Amino acid sequence: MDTAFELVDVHKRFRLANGDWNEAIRGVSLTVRQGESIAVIGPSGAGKTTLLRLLNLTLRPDSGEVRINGTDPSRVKVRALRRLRARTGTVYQQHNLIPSLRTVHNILAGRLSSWSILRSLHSLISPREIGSAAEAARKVGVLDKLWERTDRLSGGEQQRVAIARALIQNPRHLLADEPVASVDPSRADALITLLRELNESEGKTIVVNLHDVPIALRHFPRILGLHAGRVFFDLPPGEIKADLLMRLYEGDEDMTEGETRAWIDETMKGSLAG
Amino acid sequence: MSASPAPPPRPPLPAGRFAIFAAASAAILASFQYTGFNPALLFSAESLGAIADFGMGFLPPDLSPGFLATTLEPALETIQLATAGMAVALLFGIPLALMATGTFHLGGALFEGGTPAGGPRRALSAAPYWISRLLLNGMRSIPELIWALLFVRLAGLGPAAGILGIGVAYAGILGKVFAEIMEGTDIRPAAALVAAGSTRPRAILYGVFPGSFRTLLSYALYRWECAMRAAAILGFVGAGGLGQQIEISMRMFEHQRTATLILELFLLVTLSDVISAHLRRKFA
Repeated sequence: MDTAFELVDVHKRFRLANGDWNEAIRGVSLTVRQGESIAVIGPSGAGKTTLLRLLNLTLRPDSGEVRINGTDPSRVKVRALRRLRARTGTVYQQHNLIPSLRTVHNILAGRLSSWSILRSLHSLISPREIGSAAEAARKVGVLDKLWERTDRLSGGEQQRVAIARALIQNPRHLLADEPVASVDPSRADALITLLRELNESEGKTIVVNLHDVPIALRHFPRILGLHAGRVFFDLPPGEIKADLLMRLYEGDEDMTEGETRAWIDETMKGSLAG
Repeated sequence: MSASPAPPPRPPLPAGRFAIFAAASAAILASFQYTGFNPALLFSAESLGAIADFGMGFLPPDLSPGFLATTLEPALETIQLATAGMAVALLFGIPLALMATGTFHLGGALFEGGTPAGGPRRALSAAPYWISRLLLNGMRSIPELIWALLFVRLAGLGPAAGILGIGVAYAGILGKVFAEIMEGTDIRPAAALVAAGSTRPRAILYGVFPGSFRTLLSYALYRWECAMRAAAILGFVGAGGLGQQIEISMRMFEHQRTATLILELFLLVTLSDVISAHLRRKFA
């Protein structure tokens, strides 16, 4: 089967404000096949967002190799790099939509990679390809919001618009960074189900960063545990045990050890029941 | 109930903040000292009398239909001067602003993960920024009055010199302020579009323009109002309009006519204020 993403011994570090270096990714090797779906979990600061940005080509590794469908983006020219980027749709935690535009324009913004500047401008004045925008909006369930200004939408609706924008780009791969962080818990499952359906019905590769471990274990066949910039485990959900999670989240700055143990116990009970 | 813990100590103010405030105050005081301006002078009995005498000379404004009719064309000319001047300013100011916006040219979110740009290539991509900044500074450092005087030499007396004068000086101002408005707009939506394979210009068109449009429009309208006043001043150097009439009437000591012309100018500025308020609401 085709390889979607391939990472070989990738390192990535950042300069901190105080001049020190923070090594966010420390030697990650990973192969993701076309059409696979993966949830990436791990404590905050583990490198989840950095990993996603290496995959959507907004970061280049300091060392090691990243390949998208077999192509090394560091060896191609600007134009080819843009084509490569257009293959991957990204849904951001902060949505990164344009608040003052109507939903229809925000969705159509996903078409920019294949539109000329004149067509883009024309569409901003009088929307082009409304049909495909409506189709994407229908898929994610925001069809009735098509003509609303995006900043009037709820957090969950905006998240769906962001997914629709990625869909209309017709990407082979879909990345999502904490897509349920700003969605109320009852809608979180529905949103992840939606992503998984797109994966199953259209064969899109999906890689999703999740803070919510129960959701990750419930919906994804492959779980990548990231810890301190390294792959801590790469397992199907059935093989992930409480002590493994305990060690993954060890030293999480957001929680005391007791709190960590409590939610892990809760998660394990839930997944046994399910 | 336990006593609430002592709050952490307040961090000291950034060093130098007080020094900057003191230096600014000193500079303002020194300016008054240097120019020899004494506010008390305005309120002495002698000068109050002189002001009153001078002021009374303007009353009542000359509202005779014959005179009003002759001011109609100059008033229209002032509006035309201001509007055409703004059109020229936008024509040059917008492209210059796009070049002078640091977030579009100097690296940052729109450039992340791009093809490796070696030294010379990097410098080349930053070139529009520095060139446009220099140009804008040059255009701005010469006031519209001086520009108009220069253009009078080139284009002769008349509105053309005024239009170009306002156009060039205001393009300098619009270019700088538009660039700063766009720099202050959240760049992440545009960066997301670049990450999805869009070119920078298209990403800016969608990601930056809509978010800053209202502020840009509002500032352009304010500048149009300023252009109305500038157009009046330019009349003094022969660019036509109400200014030229004011200059003539003052030279002739026809203060009552001057008063009428100034009133008309006031009406024009108010009119532009009303129109811009309406447009801003429309695009809110």
